Amino acid sequence: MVLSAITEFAAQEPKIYGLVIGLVAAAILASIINVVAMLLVWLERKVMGDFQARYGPNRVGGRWGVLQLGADAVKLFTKEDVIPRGADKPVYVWAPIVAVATTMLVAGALPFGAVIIDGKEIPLVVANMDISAFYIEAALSIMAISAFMAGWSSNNKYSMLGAFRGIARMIAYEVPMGICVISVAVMAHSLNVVEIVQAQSVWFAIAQPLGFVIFAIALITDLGRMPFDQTEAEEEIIAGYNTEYSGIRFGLLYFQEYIVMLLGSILLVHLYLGGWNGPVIPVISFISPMIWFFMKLVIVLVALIWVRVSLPRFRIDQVTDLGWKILLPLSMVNLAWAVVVGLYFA
Amino acid sequence: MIDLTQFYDIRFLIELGAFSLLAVIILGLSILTVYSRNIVHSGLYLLGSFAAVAALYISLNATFVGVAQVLVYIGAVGVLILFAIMLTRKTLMEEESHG
Repeated sequence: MVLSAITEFAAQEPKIYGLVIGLVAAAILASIINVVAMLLVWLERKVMGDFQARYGPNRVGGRWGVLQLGADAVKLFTKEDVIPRGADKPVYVWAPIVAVATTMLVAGALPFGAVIIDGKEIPLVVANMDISAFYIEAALSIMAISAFMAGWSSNNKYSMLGAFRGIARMIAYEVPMGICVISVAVMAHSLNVVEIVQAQSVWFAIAQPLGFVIFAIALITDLGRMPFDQTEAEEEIIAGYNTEYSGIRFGLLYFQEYIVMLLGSILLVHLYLGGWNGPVIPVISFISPMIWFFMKLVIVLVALIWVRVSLPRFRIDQVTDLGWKILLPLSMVNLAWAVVVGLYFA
Repeated sequence: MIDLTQFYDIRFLIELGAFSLLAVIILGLSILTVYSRNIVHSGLYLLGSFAAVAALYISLNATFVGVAQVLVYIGAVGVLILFAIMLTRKTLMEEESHG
């Protein structure tokens, strides 16, 4: 009864129906991302503990310390929210909101796996646009603004230095990253992430290994993770642009890093590791793409944590040098390679 | 002569509402950009109006132009403007904002 009414409405007003469905899907997506990012915080603490031969969180919530997340969240929610007297209040208040909002933009066009119904592969994506790879690149490029807002409005020289470093680093690595996305698009003959995944009968990590390495380095830099986390170098600038934040505002900024880590890893899996492609598992063929996708995603996430615990931090000038002088020319070489291979051998 | 019957069409009204909202946002943020006494606030208002222009392009079914607006104007030009402002002397700004 209700279902038939809905389908009738969908046939009559496809645009309004699409709008409503899109809003509902966006709400579901945002909640799922938040929950998964919270799990990611726990995973990182646990895996780091294992790498460093210690336990990690193990007191709260039984055997694996799962409820540590809940304890952390309660702490962040109930802590006093301090706004420094010299701070520029509206910008200071808006910075964490802008940070999470611009990050969530990326999620709209990213497919979160696929399911097989009646032998047909249906990707799970909110907005399946023709130019979704381009859109994701654009959404990633505006993340520097929240860093600037947080750093400038705190009225603290260390926050300011953190923002300086953050923007310098993001600009330096945005360019090679964008050129890598272009190389992938050239080889796949499409800017749609779903079609890029479907075009990977051979993983692009194998077809253009140079691009894979450049993209992975640029991604770690964009995420601000360990070898490239000069924005938060404790020994030099306290905590970068997070310094003055406390309570739930700090929670949002902290959480945003993990959301970006999750979305960036998904992007890496889609562009270079064949997304949800893989042999169909016979009995549970319905969700076999999801299984492949999550296996690859977990491997990438653990590899990111592995890099974090293994490598020391670089200096900021070394980082920008690497971006402009080495990765940018190499990404050009990779683009030429992608054009030759993609157009003449495909 | 305006055809008044089209005002009964819900899709037309939604499009009109979206356009009006975006027009008000763009104009308001542009005026704030010019009249703001704080240069950093001006820069941020300018970014907001760029974003609203991108939304306007997308509402006109020009998705590629809209996304290019985000990438070029917000991601590159806007960040460049903010970076340049950040390199100016802070004391000039402090007189305005924190007095």
